[in-house]
Amino acid sequence: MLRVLLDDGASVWGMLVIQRTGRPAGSVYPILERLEGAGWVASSWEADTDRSGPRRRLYELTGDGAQAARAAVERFDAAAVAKASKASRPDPAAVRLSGAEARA
Amino acid sequence: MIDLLLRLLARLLPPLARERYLEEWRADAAGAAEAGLPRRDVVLGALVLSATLDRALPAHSGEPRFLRPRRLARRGLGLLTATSVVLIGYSLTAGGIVPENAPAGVVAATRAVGGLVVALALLAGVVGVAHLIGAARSAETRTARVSLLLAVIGPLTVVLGTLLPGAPWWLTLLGFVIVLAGLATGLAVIGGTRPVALEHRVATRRQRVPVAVAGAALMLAVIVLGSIDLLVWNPLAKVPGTELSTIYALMAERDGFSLQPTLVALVVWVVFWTVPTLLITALAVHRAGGPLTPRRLAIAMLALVGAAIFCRFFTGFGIGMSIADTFSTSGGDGSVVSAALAIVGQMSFAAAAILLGWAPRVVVRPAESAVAV
Repeated sequence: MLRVLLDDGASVWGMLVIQRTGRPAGSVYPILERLEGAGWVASSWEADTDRSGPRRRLYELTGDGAQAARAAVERFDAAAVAKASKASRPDPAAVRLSGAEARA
Repeated sequence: MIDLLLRLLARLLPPLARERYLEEWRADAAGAAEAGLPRRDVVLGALVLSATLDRALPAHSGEPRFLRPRRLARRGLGLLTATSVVLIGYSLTAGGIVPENAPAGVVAATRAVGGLVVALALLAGVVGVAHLIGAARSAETRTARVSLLLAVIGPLTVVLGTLLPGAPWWLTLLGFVIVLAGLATGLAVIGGTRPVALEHRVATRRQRVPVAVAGAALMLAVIVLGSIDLLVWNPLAKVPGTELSTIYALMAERDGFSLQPTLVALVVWVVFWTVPTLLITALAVHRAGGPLTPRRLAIAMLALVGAAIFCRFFTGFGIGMSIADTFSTSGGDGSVVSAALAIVGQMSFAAAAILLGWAPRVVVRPAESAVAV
């Protein structure tokens, strides 16, 4: 999910995150809420749209959030590579992710 | 249908988060087809979010994190105190005062009201435990978790020790010790990292006077009815078919009863509870009574009414024992008014406890450093 937010760069709305991650909405909504509460993500209403009806809520990583997300993704990738290659036992410090990072 | 479900789920969110998420969910549902997803996915997401939302987040709760567990714990303790008050009253009156020699309908109605009050008290206890769970969850401290555990185990131990046939005698005592420990840790949670202080609140005279007058009227009713009941209605209920003068004459003859000490005790009771009530009423009417908000007035008045009714037991103890000795009846009250007053007293104390716990949310003012430019 962090990867989607990083890759997209611009703001994304909830359904797009669900579509791109392939994760269920029951997982994506709470994670977005937690990331926003932790200050990793900021959200705002979409501005000036031709669409009538309710406004979409757009999410984007904050400066600090993007930095932390990149670090988390890198550590996750490193752990995944280490696991895939079945090399020597990976350094536990390098793969220890926080609960929020692991879920994201 | 989807929109109805989303609106229902939004009602489960804190007020400050409600509108935001409802609009977001509606927009997501409207655009689900565009993303190639079924609209029901939004409902599922909303369902999980409504259950897992961080309710202590200041943006959702509208208050700093440290205040939420304090507020919830205070409400929980208020509710549990109300439960305890009613159950203790129920126990002291051996299941509630039952009118003697009264029509079957009156007895049935009294029992039904008493049962309803106990049921409401138990419900308040369940809601109180739920509040303590919420406090422990949002506090996320070891003290809060211990408090939660004790708040659940303590009352359960007391109930088991009291109701379980063959339960060891010390089980109830242990339950009370656990409850006390729970109260102590609960107070620690309430205290939190900042000291509890009297919040500066004021009410207008127009807000204060109706509550003060209603409280004074309730106390006046209790004093008048309680006095007449003690001297007239209760003796007549205990010795049916006998005139009041005959009852007193027989009590004087057989038991050496004198009305004077009872009258003195009654006057003391009347003065002791009427004077503070009138003083509070006068203060509420006076322009200096601004801090006496309707809630604070109600707490004071209800606590006074509850205490007055409780202390009537001591005032009527002598005459009650004399009736029992003279006519070989039980020493307990037996009139309809006595039964009603006991229920009113318990409910007054319980309501005062709940109101004490139900303080309005603290209005947080920005720190000076935050508003300084």
